[in-house]
Amino acid sequence: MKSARLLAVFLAAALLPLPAAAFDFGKALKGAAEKASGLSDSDKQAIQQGAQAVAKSSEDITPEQEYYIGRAVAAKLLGARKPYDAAAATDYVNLLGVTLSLSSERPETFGGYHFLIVDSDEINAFAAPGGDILVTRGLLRCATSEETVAAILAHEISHVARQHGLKAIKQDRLTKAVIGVGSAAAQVLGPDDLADQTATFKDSVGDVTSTLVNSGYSRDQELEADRLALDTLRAAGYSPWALEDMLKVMQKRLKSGGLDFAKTHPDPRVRIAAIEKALKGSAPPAVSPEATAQRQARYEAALGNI
Amino acid sequence: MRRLPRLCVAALVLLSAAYAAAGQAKSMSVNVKETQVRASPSFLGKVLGTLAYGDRVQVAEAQKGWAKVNAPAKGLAGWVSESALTAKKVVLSSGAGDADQRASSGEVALAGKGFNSQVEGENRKDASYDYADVDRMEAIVVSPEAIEAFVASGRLAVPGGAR
Repeated sequence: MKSARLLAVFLAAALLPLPAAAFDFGKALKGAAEKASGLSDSDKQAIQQGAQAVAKSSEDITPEQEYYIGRAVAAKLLGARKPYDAAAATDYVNLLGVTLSLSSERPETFGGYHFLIVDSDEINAFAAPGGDILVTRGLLRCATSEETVAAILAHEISHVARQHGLKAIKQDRLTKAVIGVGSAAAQVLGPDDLADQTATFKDSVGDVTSTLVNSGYSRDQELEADRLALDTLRAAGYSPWALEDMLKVMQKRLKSGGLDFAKTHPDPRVRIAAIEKALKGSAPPAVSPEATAQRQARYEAALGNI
Repeated sequence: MRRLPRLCVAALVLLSAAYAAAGQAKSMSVNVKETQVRASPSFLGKVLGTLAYGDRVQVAEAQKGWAKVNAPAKGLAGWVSESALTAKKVVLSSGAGDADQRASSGEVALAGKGFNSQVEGENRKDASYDYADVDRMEAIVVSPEAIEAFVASGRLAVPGGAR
């Protein structure tokens, strides 16, 4: 008897930490039943209705759809802007940007992070969904070092990580995009469905680009991107204070009422105040003089004459 | 009394099987075009192989943004960045990968319909979009070796550290 009780206690104690979700027999059985029976038409209808019920937010956009939207946003922006043709500068920005992205909240996206310099005096940057990031020469000229360039890129990477661009897409387009058109089993869209879906696609891309170019992200999204950028900079070994340094230069150079960054971003002073609150006088990381020299030398070589 | 040890052993065997099942219970899908499986939880870790969008993996453990996975279909086991995985099932628009071809009503699947390559193909006909520059931009590949050298010379950090 004693041994039986001991065993019971032993079993109870051992079973206790077993995760609750370990055995979802109901789900397993349902899955098996579905595999065995295939899908009836009423099942398919239920799936469509289910999809409609949940297709409510940008979170339902698949990584693949995010990728195609982001490419189109970048393509639309580049339809009206010229890339800056300098391989050394482009390679440097990509190397720095991709290295930073590894320290971000979202190191991997469907198509990865890619950076392009736009040949413009305008002070601006655009983060297309999925990781295609455009930065103007005018903005890069505000930087004076590798870590100030890193601050710009870390801020843009944060917009991608938190999918701020996708959140600009209007509700009704999302519903259409997530559900798709035609039957659930259709692999290739017919001409009418394709035209319909392409129109919704263009509208969605338009929502994102007009936000990037005209209205800007919300103040909360901008401050969120700044907060995340501080974390990314710190994790990558840069001083988070570089973001404040960058904003101070921009504050001097931005013309109020200007057509670029000033129009689509909160006043640098607001952002600087938030950064100072977040960092609360914390000391920048110690960087050896050799490392500082290395960083400055490669920055000068790539972007010194930007 | 003499039966107790044997009962305990039997119970232990059963329990370890249960724990193993629990460990394997977390099935996830790759949600990026391709991702590297590494020998250690670091972006500088040795690459053992590559998984593609929709590939299913069993997650054994997770730490600091990395998941230790098993991908029996690809014969791969190692570490994958958690940002490359989703708990949702991925439904592909074409027949590639080992993802399910259809969504079941019980879960929200990532369906490949909607905005896909076919829609992009149609959109490319619109001259206000400059896809050529985007393709050039996305063609720039930053190699792990370049990142490693960049990090080393600038005394920077990569999550998980050096290989």
